[in-house]
Amino acid sequence: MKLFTNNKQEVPIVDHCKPDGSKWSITEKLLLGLSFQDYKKQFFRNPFNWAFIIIFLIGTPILIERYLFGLGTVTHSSSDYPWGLFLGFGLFGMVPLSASGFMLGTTVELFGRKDFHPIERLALLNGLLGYFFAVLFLMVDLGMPWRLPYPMFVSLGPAAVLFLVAWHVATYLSVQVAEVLPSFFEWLGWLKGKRAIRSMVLGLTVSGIILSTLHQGALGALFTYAPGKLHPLWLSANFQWIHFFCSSIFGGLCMVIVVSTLIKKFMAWRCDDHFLETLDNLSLGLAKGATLAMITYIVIKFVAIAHDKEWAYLLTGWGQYYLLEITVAVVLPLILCVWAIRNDNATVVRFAALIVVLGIIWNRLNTALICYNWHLYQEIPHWKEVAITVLVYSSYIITYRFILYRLPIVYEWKGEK
Amino acid sequence: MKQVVNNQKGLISFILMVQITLAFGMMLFGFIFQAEWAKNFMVGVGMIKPMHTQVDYYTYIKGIEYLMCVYYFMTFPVFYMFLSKKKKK
Repeated sequence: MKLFTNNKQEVPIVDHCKPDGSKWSITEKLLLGLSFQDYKKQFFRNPFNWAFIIIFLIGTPILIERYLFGLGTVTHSSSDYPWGLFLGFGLFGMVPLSASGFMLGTTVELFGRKDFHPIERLALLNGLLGYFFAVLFLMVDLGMPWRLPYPMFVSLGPAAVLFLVAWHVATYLSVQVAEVLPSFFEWLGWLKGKRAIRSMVLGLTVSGIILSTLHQGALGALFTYAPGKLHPLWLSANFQWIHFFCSSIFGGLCMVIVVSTLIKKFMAWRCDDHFLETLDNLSLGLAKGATLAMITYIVIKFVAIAHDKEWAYLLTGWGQYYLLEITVAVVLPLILCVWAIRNDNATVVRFAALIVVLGIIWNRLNTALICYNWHLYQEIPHWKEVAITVLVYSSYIITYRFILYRLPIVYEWKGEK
Repeated sequence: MKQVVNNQKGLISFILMVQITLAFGMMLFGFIFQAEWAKNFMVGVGMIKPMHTQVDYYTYIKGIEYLMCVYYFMTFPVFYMFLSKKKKK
C-alpha cells in the first residue's frame, strides 16, 4: 500500500469525495481506492499474506474435521484437562488484553481526558475484536453454535459463574459494537446513525465499565470451580476475581501500546499526523496507568498468599516458577516502565508493554493449563489444537488489519462528520 | 524555598523507592534461589509454622494482610509522586 499511497493522490481514502469532486462508491472504498487488479497486486506483494494463506490451507481442513468428528479428534482434552489452548489462550488470554475498550472509554468520555482521544477508537476496536474472537475460540471449543441460545435464553443457570460470564460477554460485545459504530457510520456517510450512537455514548461507557469489571472478575471466579485441581499459588478463592480484574487493567493498556506500535511501524501510511505525533506521549500516559495497576497487582498477589497462608509453597519448585512468572511478567516491566516514564523513553515503554502482553498470556496459560492438575500429569496440546488456535488468531489479525485499513480509527475522517 | 522542599520530597521518595525495590528484590532472590536464610526467615516469623486454633490462624493471616495493606497505602502515594516527577534534562 505504501507504493500506491506515494504515487496516487487520492489514496488513502480519508473523505467521501474524490479529487475530481465525484463520490467514492462503497466498492471503491472497500478496495481502498485501487482498481481490482492493483488491489490483488498489493495483496500478493505482502509476504504476511502468503504466511496467512499457508496457515489457512493447513488450518481450515482441521477446523472442518473438528466440527465433523468432534473435539476429541483435534485436542487432548479430557475430564482432567477440560480447558486446552482454545480457552486457556483464546478466552482467558484474549479477554484481559481486550480490557482496553472500557479503560480508554472511561478515560476519555467519563474523566474528560481528551488528550487520549487519538487512541480511543483504537482501544475500542481492540476491545471489540478481542472479545469477538474470544467468543469464536469459545465456539470452536463448544461446537454446535446453533445451540447457543439454549444456555442464554432457554435453559438458564443463574447460579453458575459461566452463565454470568456468557451474559456479560454477550451484552458487552453489543456495547462495544455500538461504541465502534460511529467510525463505521462516518466511513459509510450515514451521519444520523452516528449522532444517534453519540447521544448514547455516556450510557454505553458506564455499561462498559459495569459489564467488563464484572466479567473480567468472573473469568477468575471460574477457577473456584476446581479448587483441588489448580495449584494453590495460582488459585485464591477470595482474591481470584481481583487478580484477574487488576491484571486486565495493565494487560489492556499494554496491548494498546503494542498494537499502536505495530501500526506506527507497518501502517504509518494509514495514520494521520496527529496520531503519529502524539503516539509517544500517549504510550507514556498509558504506561503510567499500567504501572500503577502493576504495583497494585503485585501487592494483592502477596496479600492472597498471606490470606491463604501459602508461604511454604514458595520454597518448592512450583513456588520458584510462580516467582519467576511474577518477576519476569510484572516486576521487570514495572521497573522498565518506571524508568522509561521518568526519562520520557517511549521505546522502552513499548518493550515493557510487549513483556506485559506475553506475561498476561503466560499467566492465563499457567492458570488454565500448566498449573492445572499440578499433582497429576502435564497435558501437551495436540498439534491440531495448535493449528486451529493459530488459524483463529490469524483471522483476528486479518480482520483487525481489514478494519484499520478502512475505518477512521487511526486517522480523522475529513468529510462531513 | 519551594525548590528546596521539592528536592527533599524527591530525595525521600527516591530513598523509599530504593528501599522497597531492594527489600522486594532480596525477597524474590531468596525465594527463587531457595536460600537457606529465606527458609529460616519464614520459619522465624511463623510463615510456615503450624497453627493449632482457628483464632491463632486468623489473627496471624489478618495481621500480615493488614500490615501489607497499610504498607501499600503508604507506599502508593510516594510511588505516584516518584512516577510523576520527570527527570530534568
